[in-house]
Amino acid sequence: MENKDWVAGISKSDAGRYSRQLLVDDFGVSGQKNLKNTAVLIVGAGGLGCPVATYLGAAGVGTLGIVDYDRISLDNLHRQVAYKEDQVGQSKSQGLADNVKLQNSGVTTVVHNVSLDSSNAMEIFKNYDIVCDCTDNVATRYLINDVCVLLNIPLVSGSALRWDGQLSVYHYGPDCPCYRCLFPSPPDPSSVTNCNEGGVLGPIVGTIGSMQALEVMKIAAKLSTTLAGKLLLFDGREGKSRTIRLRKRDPKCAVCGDEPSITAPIDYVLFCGAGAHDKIENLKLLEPSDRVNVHEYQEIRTARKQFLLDTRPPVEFEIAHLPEAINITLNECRSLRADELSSRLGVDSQTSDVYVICHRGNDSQRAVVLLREKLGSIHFRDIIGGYEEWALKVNDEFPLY
Amino acid sequence: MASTIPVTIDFSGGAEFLVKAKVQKVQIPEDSTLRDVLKFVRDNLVTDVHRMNMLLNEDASEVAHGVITLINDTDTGLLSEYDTTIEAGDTITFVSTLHGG
Repeated sequence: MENKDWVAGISKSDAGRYSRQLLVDDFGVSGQKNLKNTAVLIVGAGGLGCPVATYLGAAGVGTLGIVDYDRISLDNLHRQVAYKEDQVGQSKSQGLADNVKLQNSGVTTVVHNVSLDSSNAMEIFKNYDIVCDCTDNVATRYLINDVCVLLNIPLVSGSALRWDGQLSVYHYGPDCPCYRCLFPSPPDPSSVTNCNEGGVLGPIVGTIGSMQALEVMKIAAKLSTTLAGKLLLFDGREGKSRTIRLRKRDPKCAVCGDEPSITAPIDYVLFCGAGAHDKIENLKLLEPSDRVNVHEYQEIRTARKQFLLDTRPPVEFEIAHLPEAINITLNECRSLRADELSSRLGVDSQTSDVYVICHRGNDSQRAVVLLREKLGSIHFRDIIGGYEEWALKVNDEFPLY
Repeated sequence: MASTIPVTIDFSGGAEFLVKAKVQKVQIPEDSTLRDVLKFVRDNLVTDVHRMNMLLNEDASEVAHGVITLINDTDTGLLSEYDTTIEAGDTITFVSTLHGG
């Protein structure tokens, strides 16, 4: 009798490893084989990128490319769950690829340890079948969208902030809109909040990232039930999610329209008026005479107790503050009347100096501008670099966040 | 006095920080279009007027870039956009898009 008297749709090792996936109707052997023949690019190895890479690696994707120039930091670990404490300081793209490989040695990983920009995106993207946008800023989101359209690659786009997440598939099928069809113009940079400022909970990015991995599996398996042309809104605080129908592709879209004006990547930092990262910009609104550095303030407060106004939101004030600080948020500096501000601060007509502090030294400058209009008899000065600088230069025991 | 209709106005993705409550049941004039609702929101619902630019443009003729409007969970881009007439019982949603990850 011949030794091989069966017909197999898949290798013995794959059948064993992926059996629970192979049993799922509409995925099955063909889905598994298609996934193995698919190359997926993950842009952003952060809170979204970790679950996307982990689930796609485990599911047996053929090739996984990971783009990120950043290094793992301690304040990433609460949500970027693929990383371990001893990886802090290492490259994210390399660290994530290593972890995927440890979990499933059959996956080919490609590390792109670069900052994605107009000069390198086409060259990187052209080797992939599906791209996942797991980034944290508007400029990179437009760049990824345009390059996906130019190379005709479906884009699985996730985003998250605080308690909320959003998910869609762009440029997948003739009627499906791209990101630019929905948002032809970028938002005003001053109205954009990122995770560095607004915060985000780990399970929120975990949920959205896991669903991005699922969309990739459906696209790879050629299923028709993807989120193309739809937007999923997830509200983790209320425990609600809903999926809305989006407009169709805009024939006048600058990149995917019938007569596109964008035929190569443009300057996205210029287009968005904001940098291609989620770092905080350093403002300079005040003259040197209206500012003190942290060492100067330390001397001043040691000599005599000072009035210190802390503009941060109450949740940040609660993490830690100097004992003399009085919490009046930037919004309150705007909306309160002069007499209300005076009584909250506890100042009187004899008070000549008030110092203003915030997290990193931007809002404190904005507050000084507002406050000197309202309380002209007081000399307001901001503390350069805020609590972050304080923790770095004056007291490294101060809880930095 | 012109008659009014009940509608629900709902804010999501960060737009809720500019108003008193995420979901609000209000009365708006009959035969209002979405364009009228934008002005209604500006005049009656936005409490944080200093950050109005996160939600609406200067004269409240359009939503800010990065905001999508829905009527009963359908993108108004599939309806008649700002000319869509609002019916009694409709839910109008303002979704600010998120960029973090």
